[in-house]
Amino acid sequence: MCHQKLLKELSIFRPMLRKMGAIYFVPHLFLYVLIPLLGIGYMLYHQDVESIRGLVFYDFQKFIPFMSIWWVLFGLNDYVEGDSSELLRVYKHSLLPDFWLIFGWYILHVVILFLIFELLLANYWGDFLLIVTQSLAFAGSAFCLLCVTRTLMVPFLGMLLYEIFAMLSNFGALAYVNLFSLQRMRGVSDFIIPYSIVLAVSCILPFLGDFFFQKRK
Amino acid sequence: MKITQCTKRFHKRIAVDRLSASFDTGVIGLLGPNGAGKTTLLRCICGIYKLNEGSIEGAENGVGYLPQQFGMFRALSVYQMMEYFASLKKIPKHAQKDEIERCVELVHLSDRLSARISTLSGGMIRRLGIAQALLGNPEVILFDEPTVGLDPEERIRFKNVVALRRHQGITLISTHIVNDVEAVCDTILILNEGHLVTSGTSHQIAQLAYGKVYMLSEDQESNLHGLFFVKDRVEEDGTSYLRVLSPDAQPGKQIEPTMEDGYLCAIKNY
Repeated sequence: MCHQKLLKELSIFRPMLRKMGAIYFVPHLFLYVLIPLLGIGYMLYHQDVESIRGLVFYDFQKFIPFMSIWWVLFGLNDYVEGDSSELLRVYKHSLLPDFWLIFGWYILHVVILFLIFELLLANYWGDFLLIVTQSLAFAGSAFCLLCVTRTLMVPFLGMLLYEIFAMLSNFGALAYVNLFSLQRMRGVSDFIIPYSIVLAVSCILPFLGDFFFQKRK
Repeated sequence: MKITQCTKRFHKRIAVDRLSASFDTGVIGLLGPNGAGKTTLLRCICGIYKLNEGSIEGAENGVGYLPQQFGMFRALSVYQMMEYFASLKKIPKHAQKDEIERCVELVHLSDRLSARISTLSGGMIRRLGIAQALLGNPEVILFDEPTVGLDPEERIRFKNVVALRRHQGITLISTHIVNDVEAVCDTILILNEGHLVTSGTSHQIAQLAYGKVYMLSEDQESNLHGLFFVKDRVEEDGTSYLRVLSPDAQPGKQIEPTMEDGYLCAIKNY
């Protein structure tokens, strides 16, 4: 029964990605072109492996969480705004399965990137959980804002502004509201405080967003 | 389907006011001027809007819906788009191909199955919208202004498609074009300002104007008095005639009313 339900959701998932057209490939450009190219650049210009790892880790934080909103926003915006939303809302009562499928699909791409860097530089899996948590926080917030505001622009600009804030102001009191970490995850304790709270809240956000999606006028 | 005391308000404006109706299998026309509450009623039936009061029974098992305005995913082909809707409507994968071909054939788009949506004309997209509503042959299908943008041949084709469904379920057509509903609808509901004004067969609606339709020559126009509405001006044998609706006795001869006359009398409260 659960298997059949998943197959049905997958049959909707494929055309939903396909309808994005060329913009579907934007996360691919970031994950598989930009980040590896920057990594190769660091390897060419730096001798110290640890500092290369640190730079790559910061690039991961800069690009991977932000790109997690791309498929969520551009894949699901037709359900909440525009000419097709009225028709789609009649046939689709919940966006939660779609959100998790899109997010899972994205994380699968991230796993491939981590595998590449694990081969090149080793010792990255400690950061994987952090990046997944940050990605879920970005994607969940974007999805929630999309469902609440019913427009693509607010979540996109909101997350872009937060991304800029996170890149520029990770110090002092501002660091408490900044998802980006200044240091790599060396052990579970680095992650648990404060990222377990972020993870818990991020898991709730999609449900909250779907609640607003289901709310009828 | 049973609609009981259906009321929908938007802030202080009442779009649908305590409307009650029940339908059996057949084709039902919702007729009314712009802003009468037709679209709001359809949106209430298909669950887009939450009712403020009342209830709607009989649409719980899913409906087919064609909204007044809708967009399609321009990057997809006609077949991919239909496949997407078939999946949304939970049609089993193995049955999708035949069902898509059946519906696309009905709207005369079989030769466009592999064409991208972006290459289709407005009328073709409208027909694709009709096809998606028919997918899965739902018990209830709601068409909101279905013939807008269709050429005369496609309008006739649409009427034939609707006629074919007559015994298969409830088909609700909302429009302000009287000709669209006259030929195919078993029952017609006339709405105005959120109220159900009257309902009946096209013949019964026409009879609302019985004794209220006059044909007079143009030079008699100055003799018109009381409430009247000049519906038409026609030229016959070099003489101009007026077709006038009026609840008051007027000069000229009384003629047999059409459904459009009956509709106008209902709306104007003649």
